[in-house]
Amino acid sequence: MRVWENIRMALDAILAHKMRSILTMLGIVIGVSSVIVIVAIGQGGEAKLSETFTGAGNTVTITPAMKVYEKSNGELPPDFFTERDLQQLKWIAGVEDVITTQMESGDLYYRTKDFKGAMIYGINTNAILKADDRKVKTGRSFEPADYRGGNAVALITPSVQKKLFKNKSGIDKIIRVGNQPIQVVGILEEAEGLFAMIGDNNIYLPDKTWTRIYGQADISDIKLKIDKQYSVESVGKKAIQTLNENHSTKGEYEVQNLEQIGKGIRNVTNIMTAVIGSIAGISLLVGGIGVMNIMLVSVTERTKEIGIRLSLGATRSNILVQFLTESVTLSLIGGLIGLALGSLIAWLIGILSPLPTLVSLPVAIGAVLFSMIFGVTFGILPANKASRMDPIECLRRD
Amino acid sequence: MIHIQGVTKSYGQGNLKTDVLKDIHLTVSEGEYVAIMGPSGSGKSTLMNILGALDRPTQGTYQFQGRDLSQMEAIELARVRNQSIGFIFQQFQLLSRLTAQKNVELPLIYAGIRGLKRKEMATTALNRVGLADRRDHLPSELSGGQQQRVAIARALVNQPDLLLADEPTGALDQASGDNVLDLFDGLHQEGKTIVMITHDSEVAARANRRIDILDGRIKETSQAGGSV
Ligand SMILES: Nc1ncnc2c1ncn2[C@@H]1O[C@H](COP(=O)(O)OP(=O)(O)O)[C@@H](O)[C@H]1O
Ligand SMILES: [Mg+2]
Repeated sequence: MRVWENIRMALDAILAHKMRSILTMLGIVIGVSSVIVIVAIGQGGEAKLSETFTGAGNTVTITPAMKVYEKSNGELPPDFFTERDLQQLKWIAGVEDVITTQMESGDLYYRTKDFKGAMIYGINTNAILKADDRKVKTGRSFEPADYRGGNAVALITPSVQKKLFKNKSGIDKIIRVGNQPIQVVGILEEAEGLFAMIGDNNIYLPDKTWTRIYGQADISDIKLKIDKQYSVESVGKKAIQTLNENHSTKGEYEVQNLEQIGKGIRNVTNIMTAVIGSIAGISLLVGGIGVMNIMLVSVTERTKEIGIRLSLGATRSNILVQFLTESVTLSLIGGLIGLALGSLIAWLIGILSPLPTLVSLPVAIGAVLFSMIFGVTFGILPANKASRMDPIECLRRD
Repeated sequence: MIHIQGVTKSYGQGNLKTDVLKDIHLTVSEGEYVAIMGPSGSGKSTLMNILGALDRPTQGTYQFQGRDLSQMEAIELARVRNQSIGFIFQQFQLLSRLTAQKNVELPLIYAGIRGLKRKEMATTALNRVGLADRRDHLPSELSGGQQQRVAIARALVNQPDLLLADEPTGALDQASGDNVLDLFDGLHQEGKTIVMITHDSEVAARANRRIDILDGRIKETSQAGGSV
């Protein structure tokens, strides 16, 4: 007998008692949907929290530890980051992209005005801006041609713009960076998150333009764009480990804010787990007992059916599988309804309240698998009872 | 085909122990049409359940098609019931949720026959009992006689060698009962072995051999027409 055959029989039986089936599923529906909602709120909070540190692009920055600078009088030792490092970081599971930036601090001039101590970045892709949550407010972003040709163009932050141009936009104006004329093409939005805290005196140039001004520089930091499916914390740790092994060093490489990322996430996760644990446990237990109860009633009610099937050549395992499939199907349908309902509620919470929510694929799959396991657990007793019935006794029933 | 030796069936233990069947010896050859007659409570159904591999004797041996069923595993017995025996009951025993067609398909499901072949075989069996046009009806939408014919189609669908009928006309009016017995005549002519239980001697007269059972013992075996 095929699985599909059993599922069809199960659906027939479930549909034969619609009201009862719905009531039976209710416990599972409530259990699964409340888990989905709570996990969605928890994961939404977690995502929001780690986004504060990793940006919308989900990146982390690897930097030299303080002691590296202390050891070498504030200079980054040569070959601190090598091409080989970049290659190996790319191979770590969960690393989507390895992004490098070049940076110098220097002064900017516009006519008689100046801006001292700006952070001048050379970037090779707009992805870096996204990783830092930088959006262009006015003007335009860099285009591929700007990167290819090393065009003399720049993006500046609002604080730089205010200092150099006062209340003028500054777009298309020529400023001097390291004595080279550079045209401002875009003004970025005010920074949020990390950049707001550490100051925002940035100017971005295409990397080729940057190199023309400052020459080929050592890589001063590396950003890793991390796959959303992976934990930022563990991928970050793995990256540091790889780098320290490469250079036979200890603790010379750091992920910015890794500690905060980890701590914040764990806090949310711990509270979440406690809440889910109790709600899910109780409602699913109630749901499971409901399934078992109804299946036992169903077996008793269908004694004659069991007798008929046995007389027609069904084996005991055929009967066992039939009733087990029925309870699994029942729980699975309950689980799917719970998943749909929970996702809907989570979505509504997401748009109607300030709480961010996120229903992730692993949680959805988990809910479905869990309800199936549930069906087996609470269906095994009734199914076993059904399979042990005496066909003659069964047929005698009316 | 059927060879029973010294079969006893008892229920209960100690003082409460009752022998429902006592030292039964019975041989039925292939192609025979046998009627088992006896009053209510005489042990007819008990004997039939043993013949149909639904029950095991307390003592004695039962050989079916040369194989000793009393020594067989449960799973093999299920296979014998599925492949070699067709049951027909007084109360039809159709599944009320399923259409005539689906009821007839049941033995085929357990035989592992799928898809179109299963549909075709069930339709053929329904045709044989003249109910192909009622295949989508539920049992509740059919008369008693029609329900019993669906049950016969179900018993025939796996082309078993032996048909066991426990008072097949017991719940039917005269006309429907005759209809069922006419079907049995036809099946007998086609070479099926039939064992039918009845307490109506007119019905028993349709068979070509009659066995009387009284108080758990076979009383006599009389020939009512030549056995094949
Ligand atoms: N499981 C059982 N336990 C005790 N007695 C039984 C059981 N099954 C049948 N009997 C008894 O065996 C006798 C024969 O029953 P049965 O074979 O059904 O008779 P018939 O079909 O000839 O009317 C009856 O007296 C019945 O009460
Ligand atoms: Mg009887």
